Amino acid sequence: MISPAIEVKGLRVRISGKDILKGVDLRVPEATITAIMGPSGSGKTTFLKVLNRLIELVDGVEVSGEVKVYGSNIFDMDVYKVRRLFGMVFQTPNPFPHLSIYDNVAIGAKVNNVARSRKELDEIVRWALEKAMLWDEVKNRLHDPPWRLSGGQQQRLCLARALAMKPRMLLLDEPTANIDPVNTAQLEDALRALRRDENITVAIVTHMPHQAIRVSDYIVMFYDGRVVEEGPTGEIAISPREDITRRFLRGEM
Amino acid sequence: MAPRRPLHDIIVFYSLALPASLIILILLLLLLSQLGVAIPVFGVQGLSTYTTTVWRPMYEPPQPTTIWLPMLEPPQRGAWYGLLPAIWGTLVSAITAIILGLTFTIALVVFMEEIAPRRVREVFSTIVDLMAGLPTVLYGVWGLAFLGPLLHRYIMDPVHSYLGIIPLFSCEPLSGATVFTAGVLLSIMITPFMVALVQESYRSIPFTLKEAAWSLGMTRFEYVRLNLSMILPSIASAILLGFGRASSETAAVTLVVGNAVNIGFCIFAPAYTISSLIANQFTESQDFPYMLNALFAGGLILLVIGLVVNSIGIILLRRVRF
Amino acid sequence: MDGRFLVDRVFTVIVVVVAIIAILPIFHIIAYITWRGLPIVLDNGLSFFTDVPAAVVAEKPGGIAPALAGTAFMTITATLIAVPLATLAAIFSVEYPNHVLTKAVRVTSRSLLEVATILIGMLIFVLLVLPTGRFTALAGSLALAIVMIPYVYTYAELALLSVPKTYIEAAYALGMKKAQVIFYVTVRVARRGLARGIAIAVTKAMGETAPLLFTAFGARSVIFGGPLEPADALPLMVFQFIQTGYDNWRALAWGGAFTLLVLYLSFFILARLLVKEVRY
Repeated sequence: MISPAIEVKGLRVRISGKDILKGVDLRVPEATITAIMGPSGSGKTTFLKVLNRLIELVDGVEVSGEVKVYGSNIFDMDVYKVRRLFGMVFQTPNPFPHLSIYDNVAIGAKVNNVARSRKELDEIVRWALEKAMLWDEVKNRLHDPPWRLSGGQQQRLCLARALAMKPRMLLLDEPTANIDPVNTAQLEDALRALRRDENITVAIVTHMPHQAIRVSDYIVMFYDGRVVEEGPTGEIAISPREDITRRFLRGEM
Repeated sequence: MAPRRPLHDIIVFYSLALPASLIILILLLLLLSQLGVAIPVFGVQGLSTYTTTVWRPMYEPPQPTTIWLPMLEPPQRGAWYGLLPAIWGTLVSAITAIILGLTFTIALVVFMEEIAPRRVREVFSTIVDLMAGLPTVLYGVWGLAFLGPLLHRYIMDPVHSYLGIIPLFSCEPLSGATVFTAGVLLSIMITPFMVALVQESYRSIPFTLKEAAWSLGMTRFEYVRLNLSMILPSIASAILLGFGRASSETAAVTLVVGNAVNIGFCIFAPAYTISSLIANQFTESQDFPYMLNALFAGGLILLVIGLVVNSIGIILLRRVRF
Repeated sequence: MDGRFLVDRVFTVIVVVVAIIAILPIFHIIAYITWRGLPIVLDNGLSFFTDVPAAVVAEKPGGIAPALAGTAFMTITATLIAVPLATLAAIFSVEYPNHVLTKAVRVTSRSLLEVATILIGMLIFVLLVLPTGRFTALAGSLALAIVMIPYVYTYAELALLSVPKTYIEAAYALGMKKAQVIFYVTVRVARRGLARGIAIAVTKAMGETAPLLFTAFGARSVIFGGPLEPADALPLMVFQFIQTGYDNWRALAWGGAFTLLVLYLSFFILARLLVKEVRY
């Protein structure tokens, strides 16, 4: 693959003495949607949080190995700069409860100095909400508090918040695990449109094989803290090389 | 390899550590200043400061005595500042307070947790909170004008007349301002605090244990007794912490305790507590040498009593485990 | 069989009776202080709040203006000192929970909470009043600030700890720096709990007498002489005047006690209204 967005070599993560990632090697291609899939407990979420160095917030964590994002080793960079490369959406929607819908999206832009004026900020907020497929539903109540929205809408709000950062890459940690099928489909549509129109690289962690196949161009299969195999979705879905992958895709895990 | 901490984080750490350290410094200064100002009187009166019962302000300073040997009789000449009466008053009023206070506390907790319907419980809870924060001087003023005279007429006089043979009640109460009144007033004041402690502990009893008790066919009385026995360390802790509170109180106590140098078995007499002594004698202390130091010596022992009692109380609180 | 149930009945009755006795005093206190204090306020009207205490032999008792001014000044300045100090210390405790300094601050806070407040007054007496040779309102403010610190700290720590970690994660994920996460997210989300702690601390400071005995000392001729002069405060005035032999001044004490009671009840209600937390 030409210049992967992410290149990982020998990544090991230990939390309070327990090995979570046991030597991860993988590549995430640019401008694609990559699904990071595997059964629960295989280390997918931990891996994701290593990328934006959020894992360092955990007590007793030890990280070793090499992680290069767009060619630079993230452990050599200033941690805040690393985080600003990525927009993250979490498993349970977590819009800031004390901010309005507008302010929730805006804070992503403000923190990253994306807008220079109020007008630019308005434009970015609108753009982010449109890309998250939420604009039509909230355009008349931008100053409402977020708890008036449904779970699925809150999750799209979180996506908009992340997009307002103008990140080069989106990290999504099982974003549809807690929302209904209709909202799930909307979120997946939003991701596909983003990949197509904005060239944003997307890494989505999922434990649902169908979602991985539906949504992604590239698949990375995790099991027990290691990468089992990786490759274009078309190939992996039809003829996986590893037995573990095959069993996972069949829903036997 | 461990990534370096950003400069920003380091600045944040030290900026936050500063106020934290300042607060610790305040406590250290408190301990040091009490000790520091008390030391001169120890240099002259020694440990007898705590064991003598004479309080004799005079311009002539106290006669130096052996500081390591606590005496009971001070020298005849010169001033003397013995704190024993004040210590006694503090102890008697605080003990009275916790005996009565514990009764109120247990009754309130059992009532709120087992008997009262939800609405009534919330009302009682609010009332207890109201009692907890009421400015202490208001308790004092009420105690002086109402409770004292009430206790004098309806409890102390009759008890003295009929049960005067018992040393505890052997002196004739001259007014409402006695160490007994102080104890009763303090019991009302420390009850909300003790209730909060015991109630929280009572509520933490796991439901399965309660279910087991009910399934055995226990009556409410037996069931409550069982629960209370399970949280005995908390009750002990409430007693200790309540004692600490009662001994620290100043404004309310000064108004009702009578402020007379007294010591003896009878609780219907006026007395001093350490805090009321300090409050009362403070203005005098500017004129008499060593009196201020003696008052600080009183403050010192109050501090020590408070810290010791509270530490034990908190250790006990942690012993409640299921 | 019956014996057990009889005991149970008697027990229940005793508990209910004692519980009711336990809460009767507060009702009586409120009623009694109102009964003694309200008439005095009404008799003197507005001048009760705007005049200084009159001479002991005067016809009318005058007013409690110095006490009101002193309480206002010292409570506000004490709050301005105590709240930032204690809140920042609480933030430290929440950000670095395993640091030895955090454990030390917690122990310190608990100790300050339980120490007799008269000792705090004595501390400021030694540190400020003795060296400068004067009683000042500022000394009173400092003493009250120390009284407030453990209350603000305890409630602030509780409020900050209860902020769900997912919001903090989201904030860091957006690229916020530590200070931004603390002040734009953690503190903001916890603001109701923080406000409640402050309200409780202010109520406490407003009603304290002992710390002011040797710091602010009391004042009766001037309404407010400035931070570097002795000052009066509501509880202090009540405490001092009720012990005098002069009818005039005792009347002021009762009126002041009633005023303090009303102030306390108002703050009590205010603090309760802040109980509703931010929705998560």
